[in-house]
Amino acid sequence: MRAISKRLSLVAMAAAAIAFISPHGRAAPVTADDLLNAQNNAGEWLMYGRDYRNWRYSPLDQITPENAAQLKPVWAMSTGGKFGGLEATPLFHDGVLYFSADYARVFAVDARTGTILWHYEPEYGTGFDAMLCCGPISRGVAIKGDLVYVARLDAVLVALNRTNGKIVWQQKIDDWKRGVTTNSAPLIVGNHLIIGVSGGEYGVRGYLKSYDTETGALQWTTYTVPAPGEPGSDTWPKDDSWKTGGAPTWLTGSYDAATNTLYWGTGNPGPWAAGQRPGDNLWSDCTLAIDPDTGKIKWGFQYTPNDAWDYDAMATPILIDITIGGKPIKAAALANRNGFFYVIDRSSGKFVYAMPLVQGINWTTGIDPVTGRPSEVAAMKPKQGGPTVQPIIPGLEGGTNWFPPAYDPTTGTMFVGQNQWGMGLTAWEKKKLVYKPGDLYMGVDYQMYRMGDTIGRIKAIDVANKKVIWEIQSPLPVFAGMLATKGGVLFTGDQRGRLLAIDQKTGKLLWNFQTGSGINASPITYELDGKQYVAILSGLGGDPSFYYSAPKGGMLWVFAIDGKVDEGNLYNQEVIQNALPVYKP
Amino acid sequence: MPAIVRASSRPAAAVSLLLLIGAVSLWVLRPLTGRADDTVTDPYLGQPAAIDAGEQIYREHCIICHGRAGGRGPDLFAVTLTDEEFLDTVLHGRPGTVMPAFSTTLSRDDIWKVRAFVKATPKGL
Repeated sequence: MRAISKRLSLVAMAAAAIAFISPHGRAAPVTADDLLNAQNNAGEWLMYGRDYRNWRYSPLDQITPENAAQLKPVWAMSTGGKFGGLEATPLFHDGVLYFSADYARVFAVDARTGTILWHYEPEYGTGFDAMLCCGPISRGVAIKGDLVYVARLDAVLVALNRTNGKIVWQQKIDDWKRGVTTNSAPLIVGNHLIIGVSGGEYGVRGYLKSYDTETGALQWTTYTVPAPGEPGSDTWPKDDSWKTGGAPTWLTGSYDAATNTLYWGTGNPGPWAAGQRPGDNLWSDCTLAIDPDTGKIKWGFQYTPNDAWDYDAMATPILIDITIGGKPIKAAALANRNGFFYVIDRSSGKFVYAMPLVQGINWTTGIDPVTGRPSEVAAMKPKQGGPTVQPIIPGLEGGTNWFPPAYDPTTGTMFVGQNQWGMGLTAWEKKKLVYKPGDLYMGVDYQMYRMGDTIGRIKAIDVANKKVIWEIQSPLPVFAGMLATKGGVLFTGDQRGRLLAIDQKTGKLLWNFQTGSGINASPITYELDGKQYVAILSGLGGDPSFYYSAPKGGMLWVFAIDGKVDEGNLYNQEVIQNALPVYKP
Repeated sequence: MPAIVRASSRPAAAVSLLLLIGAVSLWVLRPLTGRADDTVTDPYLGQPAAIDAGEQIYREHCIICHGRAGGRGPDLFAVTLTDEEFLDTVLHGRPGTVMPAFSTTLSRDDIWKVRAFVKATPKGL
């Protein structure tokens, strides 16, 4: 162990030396204004969805349908570890890529060479893995000032020094032993760091928390299940069910600076057995509009009242200004696990429209065109102690899920990954459902079903005209995010491990590259030294690994048109000099 | 002479102690996959109370992945693992998959009860 410690300390010294010597180690800090103007910073990727609107659209245009076939890998690096699956969106700032791998291990990588500048490795308590519903995945980091922020999976928020990876502060969000975990990228607005939680299957009462970006001090907590007497509490039974009511906030939200409003999605109510909690169960399955300074809920729009199907509405709202039917609308659009694509008015929370994303939706007969409320099909709602109900479409993994869409503002097109599958649900007798902190609290068992020859779909949706422009089918489920570019090339990945370049106008596959493991992360693009690059994490794991058994892996791949890497040798000299003694006769 | 006897018995006692420690260590650290006559078997098979307890544990810890008959993960009601392999898999997980180690969450007895439940329920929940 001492030898290992010595080697580790030598490597750390080498890394620190590199960070000191490297010009990237002195990169300019990211300010709150930089984040506000992220959409105008063509070359960088400063937050989860590139900017507060979550468009995942880059103004870079060097890579086009005409030259995409010339894309080549520039470098790749291994994230090592246990290969638990990669689902993050990397960030890029001032020559450095920052991202989280499985177990929320954070890497800072020199984008010119692929050299690891520093690496943060959290340690977890014994038995923690057994608390993860869906694998040890992390969806990203946030950056501001000289800090890189990550939510460890065990509900601990950590701020790392951006130049050396050392912990500056850390803050316990909750006790993981009661089922609260964290795996999303934090969102930073001004001096607020906002982070949501997972745990909808463990009887957690969901919430959002905001922390001071400088000090880590807790600023506010907003619960997504109201306590008795709070607005929305009349949508819950007059018992203690609100205490275990779910509605977790497990994906990153959006922000509109013009109105100083956060938009955040919430997950399924708990337990899954809807008979346990008669009522609409606000604010489960909602988009919430929240004041980032106080945490006060301004309004909420609920997609699936009294959800019995695990149709979380946690999807990141995508903020677009669009004209529909001649009427300009400041809208929030999202693809929902319940099978529909929605547009709502983000100023008022009023419904605008919904269109089916998947075929054969049968839990509802349709969405009210005025209110947006679905008409439930009673026969598709399992009754406690009743028979199995199947097939229900979509299945519990959803018509879509966490993998983020992208929006091209030049054509008003949303690119959405979705899946065509179904499920059977059986709600247990009431007496078999017992809440114990830290244990599953579902009250329903299930079976997922394939419903046809192909499951995955990538769809291009003309948002204003409510129609699908093109569609690509895949035999495997889709679990990768989308990246749209001004150059007209859409990037995403598939479970086989291929990074795909697709013509945004036609859906034609322009190029692909086998990365060696399944892709369930989201690509980014950035400009470095005048050249456009594309980066993607490859590593099957988490939920996607239930459905396909590609080789495990953990790699960050970077591509460019005829890209060449500046290999350098500084880091090699440092490591060799410190880690390998020179032979002296 | 008694001193000599004592002197000669000390090493003997030490050797005996070492042998005892060695034997205990070998027993504790014995491989789970031993000879047929060493095979570990589920002591709760066919016992109704244990099967009921196993069902409850299954609902609290396993169902989110394994569903009522392999919801997303492998169908535990149809697995062909031996008792020993089942125990080993649940205790230590399957590295490189979503299956975590339950060694600090569930006791061996708990796991045996789950095993008894799934074996008694071949068609799933």
